[in-house]
Amino acid sequence: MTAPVQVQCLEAVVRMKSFRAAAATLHMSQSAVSGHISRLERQLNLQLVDRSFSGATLTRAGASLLPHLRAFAESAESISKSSEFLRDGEAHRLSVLTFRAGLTHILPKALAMLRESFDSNLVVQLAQAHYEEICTAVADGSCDLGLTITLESETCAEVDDREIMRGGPLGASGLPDHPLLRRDGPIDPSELAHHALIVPRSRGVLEALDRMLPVGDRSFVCIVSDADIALNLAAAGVGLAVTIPDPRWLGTAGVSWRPLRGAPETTVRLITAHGGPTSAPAVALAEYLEALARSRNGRG
Amino acid sequence: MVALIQVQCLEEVVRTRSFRAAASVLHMSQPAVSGHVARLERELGLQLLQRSPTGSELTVQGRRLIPHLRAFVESEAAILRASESLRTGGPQQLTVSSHRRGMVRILPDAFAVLRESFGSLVVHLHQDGAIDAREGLRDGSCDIALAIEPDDDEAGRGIDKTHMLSLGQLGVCGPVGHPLLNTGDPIAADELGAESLITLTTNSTARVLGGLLPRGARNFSCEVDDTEVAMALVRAGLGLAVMLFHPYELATGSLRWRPMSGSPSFSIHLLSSSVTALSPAGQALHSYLMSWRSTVTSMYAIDPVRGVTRTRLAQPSNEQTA
Repeated sequence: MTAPVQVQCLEAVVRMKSFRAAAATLHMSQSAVSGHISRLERQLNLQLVDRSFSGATLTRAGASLLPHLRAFAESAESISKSSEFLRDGEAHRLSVLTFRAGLTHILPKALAMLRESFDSNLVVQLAQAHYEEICTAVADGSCDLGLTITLESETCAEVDDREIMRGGPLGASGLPDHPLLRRDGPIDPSELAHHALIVPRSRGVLEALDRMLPVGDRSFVCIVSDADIALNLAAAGVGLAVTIPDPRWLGTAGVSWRPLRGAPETTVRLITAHGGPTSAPAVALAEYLEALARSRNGRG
Repeated sequence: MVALIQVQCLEEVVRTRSFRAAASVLHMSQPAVSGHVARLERELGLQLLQRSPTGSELTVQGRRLIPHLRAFVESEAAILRASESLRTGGPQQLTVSSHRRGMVRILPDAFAVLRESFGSLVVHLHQDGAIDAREGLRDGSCDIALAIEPDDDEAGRGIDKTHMLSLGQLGVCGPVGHPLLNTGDPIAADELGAESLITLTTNSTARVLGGLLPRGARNFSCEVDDTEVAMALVRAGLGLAVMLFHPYELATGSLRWRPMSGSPSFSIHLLSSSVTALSPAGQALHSYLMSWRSTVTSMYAIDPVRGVTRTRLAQPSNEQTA
């Protein structure tokens, strides 16, 4: 199996362009560094580094694989960080992770209510994240509250995960004159074949797409950070955006939307640690969010 | 370090609630399963399982840690999937990093053009900060980046940096009628100490603001990762946002902006690797962006006092120049 030290060696060699310099920064022998990288290359059955007298550089395969290797080393790092946190840490500030429409359309109102009750010395950290990232952060206490929009089938046992709003089915959006959008009713997923697609980098959506449309039937694909960016690209004529929620939520002008046939339903969910949030600002914010969701549901 | 087999053993014991059942599912002996779980616990210095004759279950700490352990296993699976597709030869990939405005205002047309020339291409578009673009450009895992940075930041080794568009200096943005925004003169950072502030966490702006107004000197504050979210919070009445001048937003007339004294000038810069050669798709995107640059600089007049003034719109709209 891949080991974080192999990734560290690879990164160091790529950064320093030399095995000898990498070994010096890592306080290892040159042969150890070279051994780690060769073992990694053997395990993956790919050449990752071009070795030449003028310096070591990544091969094309190495460059494509490096982000995955980094994510792996980071996740190893996050295990040790969160176990340290669990051994002796406590959360201090109010940290909230959410999806894009949550940041721009739901949280501002709730935070304005929160500000009335907590005027000074509170630092609220807001960031955008996907469902799995939110669950992980809430579970280890590095985030107090999560608000997410996901497919109904996704669940996470490590956190409390409560539906507060309906989000509608997964759909496709694009310019109104796109051949698939000139009709009414759902689009059959097989019709997406060979159309340019824009997909948010959310595991739920990527997996739903994998089930609905084989990789071999795809042409130009753009993988972007969130639904809002996907809809903006669709509005510029890049292709069809496959997203939740539908564009009416985000108010993107100039795009039409149709649901995908057989696509899963989605929900907006509030994510807290088991037993609910503990700090007073987090408790208050969770209440405001639920109240906002109730009034929105009430309007239909 | 944590090993895959240890996580698998833990997962199986949790699922079946028993070491014996887990051992039989995994085709291992019971002591082997129990040894793997114990080594994992020792490695992390935490008790993950509550063992009892009626069944084993996760402790509170175990429940908190298990998503990280799963992510670790998942990330290793991702390496194997990606190397598999590399061995079999998948479609061409292009990785681009950009600030949010660039994603919405600059890149959409560029991608529409790319699509015409590259039938099967997978473009990965990351928001500035989600990946380390500079590190990625040096090692080839990122191809092109649009970044908002102070003009005096150096490109650094291995990176080509082209100036695209001046954005002026950091300033304070808030609702019309806010007492601090009655004048357009530069404001000193320490005047903001008692205000509710919305600040950006993007590296360069956070660094500059940190120098002008340290965190400890701030009141209620919200830290967000892009201007659009900051604007949504300003409109909700949450406070003043510290950000660059944005004619698009100020054109609505309900907001005012005032420069901060002591802030350097920021611009959009185009970053690419000076070492690794761009793929054909990367070259096409780069030359599109260079042509955008020559169009846009003639579209904007840069006024050192008022910031960027839009003289012509990128897209037809009835917004007025601020």
